[in-house]
Amino acid sequence: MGNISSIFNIAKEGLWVNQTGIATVGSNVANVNTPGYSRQRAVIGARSQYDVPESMVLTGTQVINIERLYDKYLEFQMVGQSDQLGYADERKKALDRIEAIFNESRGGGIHELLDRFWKAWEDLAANPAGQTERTALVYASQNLAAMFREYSGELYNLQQELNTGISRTVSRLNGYLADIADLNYKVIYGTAGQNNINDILDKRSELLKKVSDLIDINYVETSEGAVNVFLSNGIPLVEAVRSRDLAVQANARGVYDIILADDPTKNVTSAATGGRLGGMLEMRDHTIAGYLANLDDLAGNMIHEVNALHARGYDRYGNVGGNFFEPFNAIMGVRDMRVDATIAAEPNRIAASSTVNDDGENALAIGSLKDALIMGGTATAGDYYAVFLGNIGQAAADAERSLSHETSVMTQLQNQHEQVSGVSIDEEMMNLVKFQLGYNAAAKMVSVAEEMLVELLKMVER
Amino acid sequence: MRITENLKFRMLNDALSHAQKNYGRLAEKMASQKNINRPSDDPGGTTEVLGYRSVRESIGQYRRNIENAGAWMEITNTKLESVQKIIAEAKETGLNDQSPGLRQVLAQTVGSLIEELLSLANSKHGDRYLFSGTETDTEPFRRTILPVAASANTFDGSLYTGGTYAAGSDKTFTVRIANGGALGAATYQVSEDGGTTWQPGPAGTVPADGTITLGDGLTLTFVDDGSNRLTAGDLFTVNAYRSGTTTAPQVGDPRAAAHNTFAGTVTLDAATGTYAGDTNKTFVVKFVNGGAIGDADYRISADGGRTWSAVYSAPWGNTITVDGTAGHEIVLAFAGDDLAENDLFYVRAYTSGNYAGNGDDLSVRIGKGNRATYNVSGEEAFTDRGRGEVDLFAALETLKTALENGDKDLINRQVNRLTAAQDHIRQQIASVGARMSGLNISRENLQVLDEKMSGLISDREDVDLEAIIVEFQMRETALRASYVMAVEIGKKSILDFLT
Repeated sequence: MGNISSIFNIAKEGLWVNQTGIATVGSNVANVNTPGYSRQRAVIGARSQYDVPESMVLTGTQVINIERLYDKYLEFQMVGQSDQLGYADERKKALDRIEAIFNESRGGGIHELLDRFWKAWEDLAANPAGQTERTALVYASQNLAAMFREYSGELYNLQQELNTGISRTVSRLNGYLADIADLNYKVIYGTAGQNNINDILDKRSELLKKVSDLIDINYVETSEGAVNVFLSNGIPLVEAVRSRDLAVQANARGVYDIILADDPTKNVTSAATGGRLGGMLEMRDHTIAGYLANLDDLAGNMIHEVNALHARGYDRYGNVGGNFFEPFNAIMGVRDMRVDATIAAEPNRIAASSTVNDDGENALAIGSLKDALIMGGTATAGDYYAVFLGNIGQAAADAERSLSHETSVMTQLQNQHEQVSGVSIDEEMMNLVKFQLGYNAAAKMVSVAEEMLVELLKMVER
Repeated sequence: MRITENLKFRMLNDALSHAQKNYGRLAEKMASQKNINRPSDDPGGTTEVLGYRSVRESIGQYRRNIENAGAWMEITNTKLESVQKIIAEAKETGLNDQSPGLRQVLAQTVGSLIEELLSLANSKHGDRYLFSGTETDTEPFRRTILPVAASANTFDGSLYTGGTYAAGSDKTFTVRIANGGALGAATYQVSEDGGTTWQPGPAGTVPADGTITLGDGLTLTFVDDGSNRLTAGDLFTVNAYRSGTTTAPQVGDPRAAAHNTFAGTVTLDAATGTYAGDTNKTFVVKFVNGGAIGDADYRISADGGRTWSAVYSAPWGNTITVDGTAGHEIVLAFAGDDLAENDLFYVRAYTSGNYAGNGDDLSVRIGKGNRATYNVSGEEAFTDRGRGEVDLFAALETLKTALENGDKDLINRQVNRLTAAQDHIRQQIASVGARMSGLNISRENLQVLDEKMSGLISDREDVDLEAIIVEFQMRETALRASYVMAVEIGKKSILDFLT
């Protein structure tokens, strides 16, 4: 019976292997729409018969393992591209908001109000005793100051929002890191225990991409199968089964720095050069801060020049002109730009005259500041603002192009990943047919072997 | 190359969202009719368009200024032409045959011509006086109470009337010199009825300062600045008009700017002499730091505050000399508490005559760095100070008095003066006319420039509607095709064929 039982064994192995094949097809088909799922394949191999000398003729079969089809290098590239994409996306989001704040294509922005401001001075010069002209000038000045306050206020708010966003993102990041450490544990002990850890590997791969979307990282796979994750400056975030939290801490400028939760003296903000955190930090600390500084410069220079000329003139009472705009507060700067309260309360104190006799010469001089190169000796106020707006437009256009480019590279990589790891229904259906055939054939074997056994027993039965 | 379901669907999605994005952008352009709907659509264009818009605003302002200046100048010329007619009529009276009865009628004619001239010279445009220089809310002229010396007089020094005429009706004073001599020695008599009766009693002596009282608050001052002294027989006529103004140089009351910190008083010190300048001026004192009276440092200006002297820091007691002309100082006296930085005090000094404005220019900008002066000051048009040539009011008043007195020589001299005045006014009219032509040329240039700017803005900013509509239809077709394809491709799979 030795050979017949071998036939049974082999048929049993055949059934079992094809069943496993069908189960694998089932996994793939069930997960055809699971994001990050790498298709699995039953690796079927012949069972070697070295240690059973009698059965040199027969070769059994076994499932060696369930292989996860993925390209390690592609995964590495995708993680890297993730941080580029996250960075570009944050930049574009912020610049879109900034562009919307300053959008003057429908009129009503600072440039138009600046023009109206200079015009109000010219109108006053033509009729220095006119109460209407004086009140109109006060209104135009207040509107201009209000617009400067509004725009700079919105920029400042955007900075604060990004700041809060950084804090929230760090929390999310900590969550992902803890999950990676947890999965590392499962991988190490799962591999040791020979369990199927393919879906854990998939999840961990997805987590790596998510982490890299948030901040640029380096990672290394250890010999035990764990993945160690490092910041771009080498500080470890995940080491085998331990993860390290990041935290935020307010710094001297009132915004958050990123620090290590277990070592608050270690400031790692400079390590966040990519990913969403990198993008948000760059926008908060460089781009928006730069635009605020530009507005400060513009308003500051204008106020300085207007006040200087105003102080050389005389108001309707014969008094020397005081401040027309309030001088800047050191902390708030342009965010608190205001017309001097005395002027606002009493327009007759506008020093429009160059003598005590109420002519309009000083108003004319101030109105002529429209064409004076008050910005660094090379640009008028209007030109400076127009270039400023053009720069914002250029930055927004660049950010859009950059995002578009990174997205298309990422799409390429994702497509390649799909090709390697994606589930093709056509292919799986073919495999299903194949394994079903194999299963049927193996079942036939069992039935034939059973008939053989019955025949044999019939021989012995009397 | 393996194709999976996910790959197919992702590719379809990408194509769809791409088509949607282009479609959306086009729809936006069509709705707004602009190529530039946000700075990132065309950063260079954004900057340029803002610049062009700014230029157009300026152009608009310049055009408004030109209109206003032009209107002012037209009215000025209309008034000046009326003045020419008045001068011509006045000359007529002087050239006419002059029998005694006719002369009085002619004198009255000249009187009414003077009233007309006064009204013209005090014309307003809106609520600003045309002929006051920059002091556009000060009435420039009042009727002059002019002292007229008879042409037969020997005395050839200056004459001023002073004080304030307080009587309720017009009157003529005549003064005759009884005994000649220097000031302080000569004697005089006054008549109030044209020389018929003289003041009772002996002749009075002309005081050393040359000022004699005529009556009703009026004084007459002789200044020995000619070659001959007062001589017996010299006759002087003064027509006093109700609410007229005397001709002596005056220094107004010093004023403090309304919002000074200083709470004390400032007055003209007794050491103040007669103002000797030949145009109206405003003197200003400005304190550059705070301190007690006598301590605080200050500067002085002689042109209303436009230019300033160096800082005076020496201790100054309680008086400041704002005009240091020897013998004709103007001194201010301060009394009270401390002065503060930027406290300001000013005093107006009027030269002899009846003009209360100044000789400054009013101008507006009609181009970048390009200004147009649009006024003619009363000083220039009707007086003989500053840029003026002939004291027109004085000439007419003298003509009237001369006609009343039958002083033929005096009449002829005034007619000559009036001819010179006519020439001068003609020049003013021509100059204003030339300025107006200049403005017209500027106006046309600005019009051309404005149209050009508008064109440049439109080129950059406005959509070419036909091109956009065609492109829009193409995109719409492309989008529709994408939809159809997506559905078709999505439907087919091997499952349809497995039994």
